Amino acid sequence: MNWDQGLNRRVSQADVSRAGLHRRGFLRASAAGLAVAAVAGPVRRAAAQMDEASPVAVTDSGYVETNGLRMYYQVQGSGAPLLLIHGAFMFVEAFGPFLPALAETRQVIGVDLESHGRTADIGRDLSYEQMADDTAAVLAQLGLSGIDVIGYSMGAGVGMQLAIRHPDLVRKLVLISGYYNNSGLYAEILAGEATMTADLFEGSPWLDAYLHVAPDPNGFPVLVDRIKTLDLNFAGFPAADVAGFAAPTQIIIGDSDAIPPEHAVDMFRLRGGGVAGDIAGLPAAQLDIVPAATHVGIIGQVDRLLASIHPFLDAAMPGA
Amino acid sequence: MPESGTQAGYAPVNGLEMYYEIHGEDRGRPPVVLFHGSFLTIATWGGLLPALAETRRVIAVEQQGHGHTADIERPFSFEQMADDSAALLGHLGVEQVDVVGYSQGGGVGIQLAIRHPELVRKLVIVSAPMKSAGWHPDVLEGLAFQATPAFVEILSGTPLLGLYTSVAPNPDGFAGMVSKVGEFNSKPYDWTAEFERIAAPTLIVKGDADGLLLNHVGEMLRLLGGDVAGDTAGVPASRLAVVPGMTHVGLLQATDWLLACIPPFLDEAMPS
Repeated sequence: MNWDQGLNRRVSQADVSRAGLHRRGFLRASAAGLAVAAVAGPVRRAAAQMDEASPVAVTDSGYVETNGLRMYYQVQGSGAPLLLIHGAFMFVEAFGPFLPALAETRQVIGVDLESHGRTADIGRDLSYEQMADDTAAVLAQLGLSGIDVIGYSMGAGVGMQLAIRHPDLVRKLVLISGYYNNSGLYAEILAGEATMTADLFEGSPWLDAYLHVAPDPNGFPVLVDRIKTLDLNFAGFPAADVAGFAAPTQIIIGDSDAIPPEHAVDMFRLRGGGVAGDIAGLPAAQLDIVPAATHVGIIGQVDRLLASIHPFLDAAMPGA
Repeated sequence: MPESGTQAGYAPVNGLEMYYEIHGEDRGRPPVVLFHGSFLTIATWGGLLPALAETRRVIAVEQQGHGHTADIERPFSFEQMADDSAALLGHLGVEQVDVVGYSQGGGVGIQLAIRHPELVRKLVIVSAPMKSAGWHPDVLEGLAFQATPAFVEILSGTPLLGLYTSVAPNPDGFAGMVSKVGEFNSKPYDWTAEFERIAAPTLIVKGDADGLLLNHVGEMLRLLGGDVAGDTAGVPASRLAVVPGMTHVGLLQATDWLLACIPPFLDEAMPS
């Protein structure tokens, strides 16, 4: 397969894998402020799974011009459409084997968010609202609405803003390791991020991969600054906004995630969870806490994630 | 103990003739002991028991007044059930077990780990709190109602009556059993101080709609050394699994979910 066909430079699953991205720097960096994290077992397992993953052919890809941004998207797989939104420092393929596994039963639309992957920085700070609006423009270009959305980490925040600002676009929403304010990250994670510099990534396989896909090979320090600015100044979403959107929501975190369980519980309650189901019936929202899963490692637990995501998304809409 | 097959018997412990069954072969893993919930029996473990028995020896017990184990003249308590279970394990010559307890049985498991720590290698608590206030107010209301005569009447109209009479040594004892459970389940308790000292690696499993307060479970995890960022701090020995879209009653039958988290937790090497 010629992965360099066409005008768009693409990075294949195999490239990502060869670069050892998930094995070391990349996944560490993908969690906010985790650049100095120890590499845990789940990361290695994620890497092992990734080596076995086979790519699902990309059927459509390109750029959508929106609000001054040229935003990259790609489409792969067939089935009901599903939007996949990556976390900080990532891009579409950085989901590793999770992406082709989803594409087995879904038409997966992946985007590279502003300043990430193949979508260039355009000299403005990142915001969840803006990233959601830009993502909405991609869906509009593709003629899609009322689709299921999965967002991971920073991408979960984008997914929430998509559901808040563009409710017609979102059918159901899965938030993996997401948070809606900075109570949603352990204090030491934010503290670590405050001192994070691009130098920490020097010589890492992650940087190699960035150079492979990014339109501006010198843009990496800018991306680091953008993420720091976004995270350290995050004012949070109003609780009423988190409570107010319509899309049934599944909240997934690891039991040793960067997100304290209390925060996931807080979000779950805002979405209608926290009842005794034998007495009150089951709410539209679900909470899934994966044992022995970290922020970085959870995305490698593909089978475990799909065991909860597929039934949640495949179920009829409440009241339907 | 037998090398293979299923064995059943009664152990004379603390004035009780306590029923047990042993399933599965010794495959070099520590045996698992199963503690059932209120009103329940070994049969109600459903698919979990045979699945666990495929890879290890499983010792299933029936507590005082439950299933085949006749009631005697003393009230029910978590502490007594834990002591009875410890004595039963002693009778069988078992030195250390992994414990899986559901609901009331989760409380028995916690008490076994508190009162007989040497017996418990790893502990799995399925849908049970470490203090009664850990239940959702709706559940506490239900537990208070269990202590009323009206509850006996209601429960007598459910399959639990047939479950009881099919195996109970005293088929007329259902009402007595229900009122004793009600009395014991409506009594407040708080084991926080002792719970914090449990050394056995512990897995907490709950449904996201099972009537246990989610923050309470977070507190349990914290007391056991969890609630940390594993990427930087390492993954703690104690774990939390929350099953999506799952009630308290449903979780017991959710064999796939239970098997997805319990055997991997038990089979992991002990932390050094």
